[in-house]
Amino acid sequence: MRKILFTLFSFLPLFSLAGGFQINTQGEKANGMGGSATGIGKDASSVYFNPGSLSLQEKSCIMGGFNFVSPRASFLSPINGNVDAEKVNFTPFYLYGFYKINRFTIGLGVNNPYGMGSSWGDDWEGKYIIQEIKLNTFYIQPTVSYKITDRIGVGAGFVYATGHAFVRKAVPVTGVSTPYGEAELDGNGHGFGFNAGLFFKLSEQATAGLSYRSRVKLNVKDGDATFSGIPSSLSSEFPASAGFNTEINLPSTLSVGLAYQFNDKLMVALDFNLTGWAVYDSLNFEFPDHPDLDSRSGRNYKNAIAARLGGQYKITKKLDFRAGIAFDESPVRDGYLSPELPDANKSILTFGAGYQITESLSADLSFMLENFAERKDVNYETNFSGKYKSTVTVFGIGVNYVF
Amino acid sequence: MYKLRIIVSISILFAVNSCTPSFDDPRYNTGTADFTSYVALGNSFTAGFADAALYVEGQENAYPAMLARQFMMVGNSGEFHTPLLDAANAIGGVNPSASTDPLQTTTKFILGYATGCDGVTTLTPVPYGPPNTQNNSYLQNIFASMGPFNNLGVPGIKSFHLDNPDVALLSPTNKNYNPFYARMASDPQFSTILGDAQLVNPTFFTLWIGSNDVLGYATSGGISPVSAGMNWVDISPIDTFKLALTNAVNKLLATGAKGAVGNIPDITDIPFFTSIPYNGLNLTRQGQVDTLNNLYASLGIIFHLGQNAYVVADSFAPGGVRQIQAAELILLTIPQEEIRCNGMGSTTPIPDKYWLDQDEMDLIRNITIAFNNHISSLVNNYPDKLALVNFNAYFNNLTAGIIFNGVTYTPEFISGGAFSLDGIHPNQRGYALIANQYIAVINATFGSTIPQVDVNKFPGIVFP
Repeated sequence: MRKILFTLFSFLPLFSLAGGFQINTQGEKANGMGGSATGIGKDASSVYFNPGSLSLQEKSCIMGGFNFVSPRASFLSPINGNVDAEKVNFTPFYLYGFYKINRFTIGLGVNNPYGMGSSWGDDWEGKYIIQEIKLNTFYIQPTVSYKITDRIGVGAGFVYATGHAFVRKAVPVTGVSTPYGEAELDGNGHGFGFNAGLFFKLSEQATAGLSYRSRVKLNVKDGDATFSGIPSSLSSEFPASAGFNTEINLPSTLSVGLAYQFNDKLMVALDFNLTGWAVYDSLNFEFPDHPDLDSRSGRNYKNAIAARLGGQYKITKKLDFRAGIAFDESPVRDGYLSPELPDANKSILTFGAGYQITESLSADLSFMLENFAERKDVNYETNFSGKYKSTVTVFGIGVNYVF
Repeated sequence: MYKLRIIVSISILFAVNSCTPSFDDPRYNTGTADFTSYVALGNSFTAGFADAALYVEGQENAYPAMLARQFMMVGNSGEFHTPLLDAANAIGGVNPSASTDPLQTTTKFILGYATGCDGVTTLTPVPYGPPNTQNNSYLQNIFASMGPFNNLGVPGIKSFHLDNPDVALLSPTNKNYNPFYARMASDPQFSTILGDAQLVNPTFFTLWIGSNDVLGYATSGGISPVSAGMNWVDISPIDTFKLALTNAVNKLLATGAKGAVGNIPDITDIPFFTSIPYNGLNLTRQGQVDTLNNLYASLGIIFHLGQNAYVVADSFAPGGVRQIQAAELILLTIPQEEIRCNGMGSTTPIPDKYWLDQDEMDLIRNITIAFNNHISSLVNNYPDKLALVNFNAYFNNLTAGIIFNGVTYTPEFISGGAFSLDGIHPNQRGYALIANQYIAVINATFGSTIPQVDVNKFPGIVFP
């Protein structure tokens, strides 16, 4: 990896972590290590990363935390020079817990695995494409894990997902006192999925894991579209309010991970993820009462891979230090890049630290810096062209309680 | 604990220092051209004429003014003078050609509701105000107070008016008089447009002339009785056109300036000619069909319910009337009231001046090609000094739609967003697209990196 910058935060929940708008900051320990958690299986974030490992962990555990995510994007326009996106910050959170009952373990996780947000200002040159967009998701996952042998664990969880999407853009109609109109789309959706994992204790030092988080289709029904600033002669084309339906296709992720404990101080982990973004083919809006407003827009995402490498070093009996690097491929093809989500391949650098406060209670901090490659594109549908550059910094804090 | 403190403070430092990955400010370069002083020559398209009038807002955002603002990023001095109409005339605008008397003007069009003779109310271009019969202050010459001018676009001129001092001469026998030039001429009756171009010591020019040499004929429905002539309704003789263009280019290049030269669009790409469908005669009652069938029985013209081709006056057709063909064109000047209530196009044929037949269209097309060939050959003589802006191709591309930053522009009348309410002249967004055409060609020819204009930020068609 080119970047040697070690960031303490490895959590980036809302702003396209594993490419696209996936957020891969689902646990501070994992975050500190570049997100390479599939094969480690040592804390409750495994509810998300690999449910198979829950039954092989020694103690029951509750873990919670949140991350402070700061995406920063800039756009170089052939018309106006540099344009900075407005500064928006996000605070996704997570809460995991599992309870051991003999060979079984039951667990529960709630987190925000997908999200994004961009705000470029009301009057910028791309206002007819996007002014503001926000997507939040909330997953709740009851989980069961079974210890097949002392070395193999399997687990699965059922996922119920809800999401909230908000889009605001300008409408190119000019009135006597209004240079352009405004459209706002606001909708809630829900969907289902599952999360399964297998965990292997290969030896005293080596562990490995395989996990699969299924795709989730968020169905948005009866979203609220409002049009304002529309000249009265065009009010039949753009009603003050209309209901809309849409579908947001969240992809599956297949992960394989390995962890190796070199000595009692150093542990290193390696992870690969394949995210099935090809399901996000187009973004369509249907207006049952105003079919003239229906729209279809190609997205044409491709499946994307990520590779993660992390390490944990025990500095003292109570203090762990973590660091990691990751490379995350963008699912957005050339010709489809858009200011709503100025995605690019990214290099990620993480730092983390864990402190054992008492025998049962520990706290973790993580810091992640994501650096997006500079990317130039002309969008096929809107003919919007320019260069994009983004970075995201994430600061996370979490606590862990074992019992 | 000490190490934890370091880690925490570094992390806070990073989190607080959420610096934005901004790009460096781009540097624009001027290439082999010099944009210090810019002069624009042309007709109404260059003056910023729109919505059937010349008015202040249109002048302030004429494409030469847009270009001048962009040129400021590559060395233009920032001095760009337009012969602006004053506030009194800014109420609507001026269009002296709307009547035969230059002292009587009309106002610009806006989009509004009008109830026709048939009682149907539609959203349609309506005059912004009453005709300006009182205030002729616009005729006063303003050269002394506001000149010399960088925008020398004069609505209504043909190629041979560029170097003709008669253009500012008001006399009952002078058919070359043009009040738009008379009011800005440096020395009325002695100065010429080409001569006035030199007064700003130009280092760069744009020249877009010749459309009226063929459009005068086209917009008057091809009524000219001669094959070529010097009146507004005539097509300019080809030799006159060639001489005028060559003369203009030579005189402008002699100042040492480099320039961009525009050519002539095809009329089939302009909504003034294509908005009225050839078969707009909609018969809804059988009785109407029967009456027309009887009226034209001897000519064998048959009507039916639904859409029918209009009946037009054609002196070469048997009986002097026939149905218009699908490829032929009806002009936007056709009086809608006559069509809706007085049987024009059905019981009475559409007069010659409101439509163009296949022969007239062929003549226009061939002349346009010939004129454009001459413009191309002129530009080819000076490849390092002149750039050709192929507006013929540009307006053709516009028919397929041009998308600019998420907004689609087409030539469709009113809904397309690129033409103004007279159907011939672009609106400000259309002019911005034209400015970007100039910029693209100038950059390609002279190696400059002038940035484009944001088309979408100009006003489009304003809806009530």
